[in-house]
Amino acid sequence: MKKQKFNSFYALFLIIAVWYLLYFTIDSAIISSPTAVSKVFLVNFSSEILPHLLMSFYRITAAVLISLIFGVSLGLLTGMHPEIDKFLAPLIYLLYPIPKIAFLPVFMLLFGLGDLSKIILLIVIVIFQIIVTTRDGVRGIDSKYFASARSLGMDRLDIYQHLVLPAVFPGILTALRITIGTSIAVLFFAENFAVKYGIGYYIMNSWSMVNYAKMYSGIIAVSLLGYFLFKGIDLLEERFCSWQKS
Amino acid sequence: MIEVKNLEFAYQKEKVLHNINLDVKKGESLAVIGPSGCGKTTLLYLLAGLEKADRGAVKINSQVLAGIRDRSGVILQDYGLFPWKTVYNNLALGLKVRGAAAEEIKTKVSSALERLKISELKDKYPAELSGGQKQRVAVGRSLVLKPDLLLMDEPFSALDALTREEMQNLILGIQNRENFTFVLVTHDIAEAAFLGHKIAVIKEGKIVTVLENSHYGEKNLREKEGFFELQKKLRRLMSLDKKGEINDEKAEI
Repeated sequence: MKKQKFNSFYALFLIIAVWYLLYFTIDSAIISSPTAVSKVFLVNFSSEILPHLLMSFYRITAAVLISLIFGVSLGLLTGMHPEIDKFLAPLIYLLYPIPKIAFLPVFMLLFGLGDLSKIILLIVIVIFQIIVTTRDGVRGIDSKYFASARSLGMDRLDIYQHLVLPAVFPGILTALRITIGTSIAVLFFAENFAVKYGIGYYIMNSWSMVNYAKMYSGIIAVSLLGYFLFKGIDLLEERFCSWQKS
Repeated sequence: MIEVKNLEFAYQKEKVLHNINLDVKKGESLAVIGPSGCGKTTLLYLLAGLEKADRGAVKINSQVLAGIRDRSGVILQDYGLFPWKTVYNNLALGLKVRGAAAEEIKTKVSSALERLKISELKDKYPAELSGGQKQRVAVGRSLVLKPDLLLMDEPFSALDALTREEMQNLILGIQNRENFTFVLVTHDIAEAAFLGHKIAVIKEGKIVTVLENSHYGEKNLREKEGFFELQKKLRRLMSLDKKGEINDEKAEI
């Protein structure tokens, strides 16, 4: 625990050091002073930044949870039933590479300008990774475990509960880590359209108003949002996947 | 207890087992010995109800086996312990899926852990255990179900010689106390001679012969001459070519 804290502080220290270096070497207003930005961040955090941040957090969490429910279900289904996979795999392979972000205008027309279109955009980006990881995770389970499960008299539901889900869970967490990075980047883009709240909006709005200190405060907030989401996944891993470390 | 009649089994079109007939009485043990790929694991899977025969039937306690039996314990080749469950939870699993109450699970699992001398390992994961310890957990996982039939697929093949003998003694000890029937599939001649009441030699999917082991269960069996004689005989039977005159062998020792 102590070592982990040290690691986090070390990362923070390194980033601030590089920032200072850039600040002192590049003589331009676009690189704000870390001290000034920190002050603006602290002063505005609860009054200005937090509401934007919570809105983004809500959009990401909603999208990730919905993607998890449907993505894991579809992944399990295709992984356990090759005959279903035969029909779904071509569909997944054709849709997966499409640049979904280009469909934001379509989603906004179909689902309105509010949260729903943004959440759906995130879902269609995140869900494919979860489906594919879950499916491949199921396929990778050694058949000896299925024989073992059946020999213990486990029925289909028991096999999902005690064998398949625990076996694919670490893979799902890895998929989550990757997709959360992508989600934040996509959300940043999506929040520039027809919203008044969201950390992406806050950053771009500050930028267009040439308030670089606020813009950097927003960027720090995004970084912290990612940090806590990743930490959350680490906690889940510690709680449910400690067997992997043994 | 076990009656196997005219059993045939094929994987796709390749015949794995031909006309298998066996008879094992209650409380007896049967060791099935043969080289790798001879079909002995398939036979065990058929006895466990994990595979279905193409022809013939397996009867257990006079009932035709149609699937997994509640009172058959199965120990698979590489133990089949779930890596994400602790020793305790691996042992508890069979009871849990049978809908046992929490208190019953606790009592049964704790008593099995104690009997197998692995209580101190109960919170460990399989990856943290040695081969012998994993084997004990696998035995425990079957024993908590109070089986009347224990089926084992080369359970001790990955263990070093001393641990293997220790585990063989343990199985024999437990069987003496609980009087279950067991079938053991192995390619180890000494193991078959030590643990088999009856020893079936299988070659290319056919039973070559079934020997009665009159020394079964004797004290210090491993040091007795009869034990070595039996092994010699098994070795000869296993290494005979197709033209070997097995039928001339006297089945009783």
